[in-house]
Amino acid sequence: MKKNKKIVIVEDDLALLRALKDKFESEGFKVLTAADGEKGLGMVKKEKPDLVLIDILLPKMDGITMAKEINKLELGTLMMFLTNLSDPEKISEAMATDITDYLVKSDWNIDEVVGRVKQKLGVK
Amino acid sequence: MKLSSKIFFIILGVSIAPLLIGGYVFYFNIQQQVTNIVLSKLDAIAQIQKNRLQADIDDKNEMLSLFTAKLQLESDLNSFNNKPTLDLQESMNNNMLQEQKNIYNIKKILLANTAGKVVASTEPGLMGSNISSQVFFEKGIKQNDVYTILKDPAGGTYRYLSGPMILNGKTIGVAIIVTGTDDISSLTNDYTGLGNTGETLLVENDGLGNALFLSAARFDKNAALTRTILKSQTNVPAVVAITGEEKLLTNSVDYRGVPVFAATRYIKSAGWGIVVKIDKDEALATSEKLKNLFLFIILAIIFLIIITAIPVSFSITKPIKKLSDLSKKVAGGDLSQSLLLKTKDEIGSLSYFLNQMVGSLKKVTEKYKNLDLNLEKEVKTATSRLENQNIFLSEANKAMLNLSEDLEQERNNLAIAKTNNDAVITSVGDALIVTDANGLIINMNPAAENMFGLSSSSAVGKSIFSVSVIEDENGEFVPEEKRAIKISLTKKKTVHTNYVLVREKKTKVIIAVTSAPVILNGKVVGGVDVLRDITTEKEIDKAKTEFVSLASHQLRTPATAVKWYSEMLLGKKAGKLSARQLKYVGEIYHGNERMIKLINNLLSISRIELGKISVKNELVDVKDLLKSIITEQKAEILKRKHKLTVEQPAGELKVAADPVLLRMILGNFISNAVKYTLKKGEIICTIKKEGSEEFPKFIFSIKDNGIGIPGEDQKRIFEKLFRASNSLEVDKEGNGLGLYIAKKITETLGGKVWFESKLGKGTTFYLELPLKKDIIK
Repeated sequence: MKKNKKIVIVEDDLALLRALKDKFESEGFKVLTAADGEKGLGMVKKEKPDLVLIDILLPKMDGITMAKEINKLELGTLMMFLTNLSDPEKISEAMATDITDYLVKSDWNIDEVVGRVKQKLGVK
Repeated sequence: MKLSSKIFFIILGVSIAPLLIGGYVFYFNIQQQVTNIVLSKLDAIAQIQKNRLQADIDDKNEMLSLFTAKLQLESDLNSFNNKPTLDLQESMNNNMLQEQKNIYNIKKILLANTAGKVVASTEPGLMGSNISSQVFFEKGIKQNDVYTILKDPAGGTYRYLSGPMILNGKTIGVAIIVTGTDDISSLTNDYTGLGNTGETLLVENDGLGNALFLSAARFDKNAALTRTILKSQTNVPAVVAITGEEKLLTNSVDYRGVPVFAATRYIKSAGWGIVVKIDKDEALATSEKLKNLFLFIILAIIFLIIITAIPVSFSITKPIKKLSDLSKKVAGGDLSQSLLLKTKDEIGSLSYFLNQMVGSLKKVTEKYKNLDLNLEKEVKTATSRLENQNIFLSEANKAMLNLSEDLEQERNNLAIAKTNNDAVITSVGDALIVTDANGLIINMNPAAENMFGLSSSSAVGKSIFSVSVIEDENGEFVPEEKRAIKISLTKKKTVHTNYVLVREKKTKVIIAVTSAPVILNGKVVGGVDVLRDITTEKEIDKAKTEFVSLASHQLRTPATAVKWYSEMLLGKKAGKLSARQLKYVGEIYHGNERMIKLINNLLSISRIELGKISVKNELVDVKDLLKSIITEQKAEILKRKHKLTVEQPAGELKVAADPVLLRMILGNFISNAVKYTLKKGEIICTIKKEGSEEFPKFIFSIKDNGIGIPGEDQKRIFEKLFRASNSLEVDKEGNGLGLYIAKKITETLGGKVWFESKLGKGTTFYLELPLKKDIIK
């Protein structure tokens, strides 16, 4: 069942992207990655993943705009913000996209991030 | 002006002024009045003349009717018409001669047949002549006519009365009675009431509209039937009269061309006009006479008034002058004078009382002469007393002089002080504005001139509110009542605040303002504004804070990388590490965690200092929140084997608060208690509800029995980056930011924090928060 779950990670910092990819793959997820918002959006359209992890500060298209675009596709794709921005203004802006999961990277262990994603997808 | 002259002029003014006014009005009315009188007189005479003429006409008509109705004459004429005989002719002649004798002033009588042939006459020479072409025959055969007046060949005028002889309704001949015109001329020659130039004229229409005189005129004896006034001369009364108009004329001239007043009448049956007129000169001569007489009377009266006014004024003032002379002498000290005016009026009694007064004065003066001697003695004593007092006074004077010197000195000191003050105000670096109690500028120093871009001379006297526009830090206009100076003037207190001053050309300066009221005897008499340009400081501060914020974000990403990779290494999935390696990686992880915490704190501080801290209140279950914070730190509590207890009221405790901020404050207090208490410590967390019903509040307290805060460090414990001297030994990882953040956040929430501490015994931190109204129990 785990192996069937497909996630897309959009993250421009390659070190973090690799860590996340390794971790999620080791947990049995099928992981696709993108380093900017436009690529990420294209990938979501094409691959129709179960869940997208989105950074906010991204080249070409920022994470919040991207989330709004994904919402417009009406694919029912689950999304989580995973970012290092913690300004209350940014958080409220992000919350306005109806995505309630807003994780500040440096406050979360990578294990906890995986746990949260699993919880979201309803897998153990 | 002397009293006598005054009285004289008053009498003159009072009596002459009305005289002159009345005289003036009367003088100019005389002519009109006279004209009216003359006109009404002319009108009355004209009416009388008309009536007389009408009566004469009636007479003549009656005479003619009686004659033509004679039966014998009718019968004779009729018989003669049928068959002429000498007897019949003689009978008729005799009849007419008889008639001529009986009636006064009949010149002749004729009887003609219907063909105009004279068949009988009082003058035998006229027998048989033909009169059919004569006017009187033509008129008489139709009806009675008494209006024909014709010239007599012998001179003079005759009046022809003619009428038809009618028998059994048939005209059988015409009777003509010729009389003189004496009746008419006696009427027109009657000048009664018409002075030397007035007269009555009788005229008739000559058939062409011109007026023909029927009788002699006063100034033209031959006017009858010879003089004619042409109809174009409409300003001549005769022409007016024959048009049938009966009126009064004031602007006309008579047949001589002389201006006259006139009245006209008209007898319709005859076609005769009557003019009664008088020369204007004569008519108005009366008024001129009256005018002159009147003028003479006025002048005479004025003369009389002047003549009487002089002695009258003198008679009034003479005794007063005498009294005044006496008073002068008495006032000059001459009491031997007396005066008795034997009049019974007020002046008499005045002189009487004046005399009495002079008498009394005399007596009093005598008395005083006696007193004088005594007085002299007394004056001497008094003088010596005065001299003594003088000495005393001169001493006092000296003292006063000294005092005044002191005062002068003080004044100089004050002047120097003022000069110093002015110099200080002028040279002080901060802008300084002095206003009165209403905010009108009294003084401003050069720094203020610079800041406001105004010259002191143009600003003084204007309202400080009108010369400066102020915004708050969000660019909102600050109204007068919210300005520091206004608040300080009205509330009588010193106000500190920051503003943005908008100058001309919209340049803005951030200023720190201190407004203080100047209070004298409990009343605000003015205000002093000290302003400092803090634009640069603010900009530097902002740049610094933004830099920290940005840097912190940038730091987070590599810290995250370290965190996750070291975590994965520790998680052993990347391969097994030796015990030593595990320990090292653990240190890396731990150090990184500290760095992340430091970054988070720096972010919080930069937000606080940028003023970007935002409060989002929601209904928070305080008990749950506390429990969750404790749970977060459970690992550390267990590790140190602390005993942690919670004391709180029973039941649900909910409050409107920002849970994130509240968590930061309480979390910091609890983690400090955990860290700065050695092993097996005792920590007590308490929640209490206090305050009045109207303003309830929560008090949280975190009590430990840890190392305490040294006395000398207590004051600075909430300062940024400050750490108590004894804390370093216990926890080397602290950064001195936690309490600073907690205090700042508390202030944002409108609460307060404080602590009690004893070195080596323990510390209690308190947080007091106002309980929002919408709490649910």
